Amino acid sequence: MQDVHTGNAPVILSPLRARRSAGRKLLGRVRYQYGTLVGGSLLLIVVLMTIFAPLIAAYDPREIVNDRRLSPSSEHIMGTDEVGRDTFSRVIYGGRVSLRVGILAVVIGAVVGTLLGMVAGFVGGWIDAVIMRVIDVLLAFPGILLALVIVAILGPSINNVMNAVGIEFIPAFVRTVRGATLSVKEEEYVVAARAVGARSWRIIGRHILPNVVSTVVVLGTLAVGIAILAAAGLSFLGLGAQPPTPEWGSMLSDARNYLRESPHMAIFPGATIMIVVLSLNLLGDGLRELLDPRMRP
Amino acid sequence: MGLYILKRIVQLVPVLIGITILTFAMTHLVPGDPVAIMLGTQASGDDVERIRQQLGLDKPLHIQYFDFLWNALQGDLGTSIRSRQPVLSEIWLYLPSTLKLMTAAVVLATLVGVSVGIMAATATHKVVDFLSMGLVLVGISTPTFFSSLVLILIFSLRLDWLPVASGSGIKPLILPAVVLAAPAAAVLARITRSALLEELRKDYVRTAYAKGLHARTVMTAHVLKNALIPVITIIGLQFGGLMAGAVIVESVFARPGLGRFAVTSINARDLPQIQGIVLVAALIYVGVNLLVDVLYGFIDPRIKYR
Repeated sequence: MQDVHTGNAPVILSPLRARRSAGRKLLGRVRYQYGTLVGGSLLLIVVLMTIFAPLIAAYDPREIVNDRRLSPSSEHIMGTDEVGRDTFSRVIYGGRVSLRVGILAVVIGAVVGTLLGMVAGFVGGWIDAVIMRVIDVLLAFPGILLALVIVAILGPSINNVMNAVGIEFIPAFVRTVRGATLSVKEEEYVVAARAVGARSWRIIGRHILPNVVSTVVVLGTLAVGIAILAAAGLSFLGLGAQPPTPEWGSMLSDARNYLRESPHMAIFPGATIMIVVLSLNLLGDGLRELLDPRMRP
Repeated sequence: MGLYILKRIVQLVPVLIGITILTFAMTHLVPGDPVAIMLGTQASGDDVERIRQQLGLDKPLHIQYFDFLWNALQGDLGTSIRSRQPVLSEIWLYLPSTLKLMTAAVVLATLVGVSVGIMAATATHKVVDFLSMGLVLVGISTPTFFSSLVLILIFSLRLDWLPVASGSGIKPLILPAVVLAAPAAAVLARITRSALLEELRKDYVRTAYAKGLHARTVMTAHVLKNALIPVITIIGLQFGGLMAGAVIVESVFARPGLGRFAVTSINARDLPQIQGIVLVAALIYVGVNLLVDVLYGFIDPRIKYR
């Protein structure tokens, strides 16, 4: 559809073109956000490396390929680990595990949290009260303590860590989305939709959800970094990935026994986690400025 | 003020009940027979039955919960499967070390975080601001288990200035406290900076400048007083992050604290012990946040009337 009027009448852009133009504006603003660009680029490099791991890694991450604890060299650019596996290959393949766990944990938290937050904010009443009291209880278990409880219940494994970290994120999403829903609910178009008899689920899906998506995206980007740290932390404690699965946290845990003689075993996986989380934080901060209207100057 | 504190305590009652329900439910949420999991495959049928009776798992669920609640109120959190010692007495054994570490970390994080935040806010868009905010970003992004290992490598193994493992005195506390405080200090620096910048835009600051007051006087006598109020809440919230961080830091530095004890209990699947630790940790966290709320009411009287 294109409503271009002839004569002196104003030119009305189609919704598609208007959306394209908004997208271009957004991209134009990204160009001046150096932090977002650096963060996004670094993250893209790491993600591409993990996707194309079989093409980049010279060795099988689970196979013993040389002597134990070799220092970095042209043959093994990050050296070898305590049993003689190539550290670079393990770091790249480990990224698959750590990124997958981090992203999926946030997806779990975001999907459940957004749904509950929208229902609590839109429906209100006793449903809101019940949801928020449960969230208050979950918030009484700070940081990875809730994840620790869940892993203690389900038993140590990387999938249980993913679920545990995901559940840990639900309260943050519920609170944020509920707040956003409460303000969107009072908008005239929502009141109008109600007045013409639209069902609650339709209003939530058509009007509330599109308006809280940007908030969820910003929170989600920042949460992926925290999720990666939490999951790696639990693996570091021996509660997540089990040997011989390559995972950044468990690689650091293995390395701590050889810190004096072979510090490279700790430095490479540790620095990789730091870079990934740093880039996610840069990207998240940039997205917050771009997408969250309250943060715009 | 008394009414305000009472209101806050009453608001906590459902949360406290929820904490006890969730902690109690832990045993029942374990997939499979919790007693068989705790005792392992080698346990005899008699042993399983004895532990089942000891834990009261043969009673109806609601009776089990009220027993758990009643015993907990009397300070009885059950008996450890592993050590056969009362859970609470073991927790008392490990708690002081964790509290010592966390107190050191809170003090360090507050001093460093607030100072860096003030420094950055007073030099907005200057080199100091960019450098300190860059450091803040690194502080937030660095995992405690990695910074622990790097600091051990530099200050213990290479320079031999500080001990790796725990011991008596201040020296063994320095590295763990620094590692634990770093992310909290980074968050506090960020919050302090943005709170100060927001405050600096307000009318009363313009008036103070218009009266001819010196920039330092405006900052110390007016801006800081108001800007640091929200920072207190963040210190309370950071306490939770520090509790979680203590689990990792205590494990790396082999400190005999509650965090390390929690990990060994989880690995041993000692459910009564885990229940006890989780309950105590959640109660401490809720208590600290209540304290912060009350403190907030004292510092900013407007809060009491909201």
